[in-house]
Amino acid sequence: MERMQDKQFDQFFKDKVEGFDPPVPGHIWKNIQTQLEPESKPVVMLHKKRRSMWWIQVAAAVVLVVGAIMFYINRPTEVVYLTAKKVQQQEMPHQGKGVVSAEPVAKEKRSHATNNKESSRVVEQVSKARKESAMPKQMAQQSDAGIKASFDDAIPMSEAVKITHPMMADEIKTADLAAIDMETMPAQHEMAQREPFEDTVPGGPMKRIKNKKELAAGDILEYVASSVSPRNEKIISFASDEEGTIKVAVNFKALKIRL
Amino acid sequence: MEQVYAIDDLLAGCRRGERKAQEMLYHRLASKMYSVCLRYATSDFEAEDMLQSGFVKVFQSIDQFKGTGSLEGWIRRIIVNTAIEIYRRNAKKHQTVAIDNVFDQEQQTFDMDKLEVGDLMKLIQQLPDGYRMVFNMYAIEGYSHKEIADALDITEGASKSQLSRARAWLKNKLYMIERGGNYGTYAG
Repeated sequence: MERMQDKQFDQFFKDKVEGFDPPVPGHIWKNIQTQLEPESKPVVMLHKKRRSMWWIQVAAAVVLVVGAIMFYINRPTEVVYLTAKKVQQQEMPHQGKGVVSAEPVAKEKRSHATNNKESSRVVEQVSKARKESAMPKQMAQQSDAGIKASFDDAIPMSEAVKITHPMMADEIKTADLAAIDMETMPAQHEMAQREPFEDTVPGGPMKRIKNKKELAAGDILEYVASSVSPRNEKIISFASDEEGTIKVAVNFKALKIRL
Repeated sequence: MEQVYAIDDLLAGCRRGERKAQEMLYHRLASKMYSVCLRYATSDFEAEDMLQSGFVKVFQSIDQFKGTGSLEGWIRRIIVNTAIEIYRRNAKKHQTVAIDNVFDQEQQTFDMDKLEVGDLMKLIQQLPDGYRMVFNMYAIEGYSHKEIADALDITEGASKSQLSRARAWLKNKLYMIERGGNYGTYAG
């Protein structure tokens, strides 16, 4: 009896609620749609995108690294030559001695264009005694050896040019002085350039000018002795002939490393 | 017959993942299923959530429908299963309601016809969680106590006692409604 009542009770509820048709909020279908969308496409797309992006990044990184290494290995080499060489022997009537003309030359990129033919030509007058005393001390260098300071270079060309110009100016100055003081100036000029390799310098008038000359020599010294980036090379070469054929070349970098 | 064919057509479309077919199937059954959801949910908001995730499951697993029963019955089971999942998920949050204070109404007959279905729906919604699940599953859906026990992870005895307490609770409410009481505020 009790059971029947329960069943009736349940049935009553069932009949009632089964016939219930509530209005359904419209946004639910939209939500279902959007929930079904990401399941299929976007998630996969996202995965693919992320994966491909990853490979692109790796490839880009590899290309950059390889490029940097290649650039480092094949970096352009620029050489600045500072040359002082004997151009010709001239007979000077009032001295009757061989005259050595020193030509400060700035050359770039192995183009041996000399620019000393105009104002910068220096007529170097060297007394016999001086020449004789100086010669032995120069050892490997001949008296007419050109001194070349080669800067191997990570220095951009424009910068190299900048470096070169002041030196030329100094040389020109020297030339002017030489023209005024024919006796002392040329000798000093040559000496100044050789100074790094020479210990002793005859005194007297030379000393007076030496002070002036040291500016030029100092500049050269600066390039020769200044610190070199471990990546760069610094070569000092000595050439004796017109074409600038290198007779002896010293790589400071190599020396430095050995020391 | 026409409707059966139509549903078969929709089913084929849904299996192919056609959005139009899915939409038509949804609109055909949404109201009925929403009604089911409202009975299991504690609020309209929860019912909407239930309907939404239930239909998403339907479309995602439509290939698993073997066609042995009716598609509607299959969808309804999915909706109820969704309701059970939500109930179990929230079970930890819900405190167990003291049920001993529910007493059986001696009155066994009510003038049911006067009751609006909306009122009955509200009553069911107001049933304490455990009662509501068991009453819905047993009285409306027709599950056995064993099935309910398995689904809700309770014993069959607990299912039976909760069912009888649910009935007593409802009768008590119906009695108060007949007496002109405000049933809406007597939840629990």
